[in-house]
Amino acid sequence: MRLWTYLCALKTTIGWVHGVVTLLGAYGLAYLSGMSLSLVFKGDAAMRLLPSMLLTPLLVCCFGFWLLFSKTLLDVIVKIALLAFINACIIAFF
Amino acid sequence: MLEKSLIFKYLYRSHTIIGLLVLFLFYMSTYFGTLTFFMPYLKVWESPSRHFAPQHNHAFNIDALLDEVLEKHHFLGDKPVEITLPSFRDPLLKISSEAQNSLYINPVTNEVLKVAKEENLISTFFNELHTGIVIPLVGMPLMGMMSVGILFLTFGGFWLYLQKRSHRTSSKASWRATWLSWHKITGLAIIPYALVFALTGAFLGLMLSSSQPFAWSMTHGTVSNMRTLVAPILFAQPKYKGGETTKQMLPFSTLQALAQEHYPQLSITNATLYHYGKEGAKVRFRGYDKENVAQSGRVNRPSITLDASSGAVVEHKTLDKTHGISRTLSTFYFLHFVPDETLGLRVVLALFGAILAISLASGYLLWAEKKLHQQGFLADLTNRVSIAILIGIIPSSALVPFLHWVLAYELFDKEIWIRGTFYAFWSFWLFYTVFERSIVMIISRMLKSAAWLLLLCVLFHGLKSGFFFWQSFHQKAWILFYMDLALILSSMVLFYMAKWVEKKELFYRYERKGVFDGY
Repeated sequence: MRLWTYLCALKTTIGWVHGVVTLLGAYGLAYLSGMSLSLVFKGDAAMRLLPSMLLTPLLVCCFGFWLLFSKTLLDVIVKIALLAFINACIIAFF
Repeated sequence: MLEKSLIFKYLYRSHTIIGLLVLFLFYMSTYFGTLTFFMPYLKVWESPSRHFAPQHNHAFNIDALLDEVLEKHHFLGDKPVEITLPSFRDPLLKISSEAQNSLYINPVTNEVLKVAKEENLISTFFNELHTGIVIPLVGMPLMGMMSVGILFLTFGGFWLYLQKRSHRTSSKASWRATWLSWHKITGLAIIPYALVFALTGAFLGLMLSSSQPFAWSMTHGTVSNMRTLVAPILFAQPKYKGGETTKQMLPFSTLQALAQEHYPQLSITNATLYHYGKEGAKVRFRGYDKENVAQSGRVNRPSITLDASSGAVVEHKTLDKTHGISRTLSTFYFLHFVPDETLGLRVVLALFGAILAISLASGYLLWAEKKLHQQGFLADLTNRVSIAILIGIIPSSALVPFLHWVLAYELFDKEIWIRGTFYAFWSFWLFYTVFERSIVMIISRMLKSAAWLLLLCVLFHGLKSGFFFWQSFHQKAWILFYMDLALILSSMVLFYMAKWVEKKELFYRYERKGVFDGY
C-alpha cells in the first residue's frame, strides 16, 4: 500500500528514483526501438542496421524527455512497460 | 501532461544533474578532440623523420625505386600492397601490406626509412584520450554515453532557453547572471557544432561498440556481429587474379597520370598494387572527389583501376556507383574527422571546440555559484577537484610534448614513461588543488607551468631536431615553423592569463580556508 502511494505521489521535483528509472528506461527503450527499426526498415543489411543505429542516440533523448515529463513514478513505469511490450511484439512477430 | 512551470522545473533540474554527470569526461574529450583537429601538423612536428620541406603539392617520383623496394622488402606476392601518397596528413610516402611492417619513403630524397611507432606518440596519446580508449573496455562506450548526454543537454538547454525567454524577466546583475549569460550565449552559438559532434561521437563511441542487439534482431537471432553483415556490402574489396609469368610494368607516375586523365575529379591519396610485376597486375587509385569531398571521405573512396602493364582502364568506380549508406556514413565521418580538409576549416572547428569548452566550464561555474554559501567542505572540494580537471589538464598535456623532446629517442618503453608521467602530473595537480588554500595561486601556477613547458618544448624541439623556428623559416618547412609559432603564442597567452587571474577578484569568491585548514 505504501509502495502504491509512493508510485502514485505527484512530484514537484525529480527525485533520484525518477531520474535513474528515466535514464535506464530511455536507454532500454531506445535500444528496443532501434532493434524494431532494423526489422521494419527495407533494403540490405547496411540499409537496415546503420540508420537504426544512427537514430538510437536521438531516441535516447526523445524517450528521456518523454519519461521525464511524467507526473508520477507510476506513469514512468507504465510508459516503459507499454513501449517495451510494443517493441517486443515487433521483434518477435515482424 | 505536466504544467508549464513543472516542465521548466524538471528541465532545469535534469539539465543540471546530467550536465554535472557528463561535464568532466566530455570536457576532457572536447579538450583533446580540439587538439586532434591539428593532428596532421602535430604528427609532422613530433616526428624527426618528417622534418623536411616537402616539394610543391607534395610531388614525388618513385619510378626508379619502386620495383627494387618491393622486391628487397618482400612486398611482391599475392597480397595487395597499399601505397599512401605523401600529403599534408603525412609528407612521407608509405608502403604497407597485410602482416608486414610498413615502409616509409622520403619523397624529396627517395630515402627508405623505418619510422618507429614512438615518433607519433603525442598525437596517438591525445587521440586515445579524446576517444576514451585509455580506459580499458568501457572507455569508448563511456565517451559515447557522454555524447548522448550532450545531445540531451543541447536539446534541453534550447528548450529551457525558449521557456525562460517567455516566462522570466532578466535577473539582477550578479556573478550568477554573468555565468548564465556566458553559458547561454556560448551554448546557443555551438548548437550545430555540439549536435554534429555529439551525434557522431555517440555513433562512433557507443553505437559501434554495442551494435550486437541490432544485428541479432535483424537476423532473427542468428548473427550478432554487425560487421560480418555490413562489411561485405560497404567495404567489399575487389579480387583480381594474377598470372605466374613476370611482365614489365608501366612506371608508377605514368599510371598515376593515366588515372588522373580518366578521372580528373579524383584527388588521388592511395594506390593499391595487385600482383605487381606479374601478368594481369592491376593498380587501383583511390582518393576523394574534388567536387564532393564530404561524400568521398575515407570510408567511401571512389576509385579507378588500371592494368599495370598496358594502362587500360579495368574498373571505374565513381561516387554515384557507391552505396547510399556509404555516402551517408562518409558525410557523417567527414563531419567528425574532416579528413581531407586543410588548416582553414580545422581552425574554425577548433574555435568552436574552445567555445564548447567555455560553455561547459561556465555551466559548472553557474552551479558552483549556487553552492557558494553552502556549509561544509563538499562545495569547496568540488570546486578544487574541478579546477584540477578543467585547468590541470593544460599543464599535464603540455608536459607530453616537453617529455617527448627531452627524453632520448632510444629510451626503452618511452611511451609508457611519458603516459605514466602525464597521469602522475595530473594527479599532482589534484593533490595541489586540495593542499593549497589560494585558488588564485593554484590557477596561476597551473597556467604558468603550462606556459613554461610549452616554451621549453619548442626549445628542446629545436635542440634535438636541429630545426629551430628560424631555421624552419629559412628552409621553408612551414608546418614546423607554424607549429613552433603556435606553441610560443599559446605559451604567451597562458602567461598573460596567469597574470590576469592574479588580478581578478572574482576567483577569491571561491576561496575558503582549504581542506587541511578546516572549515
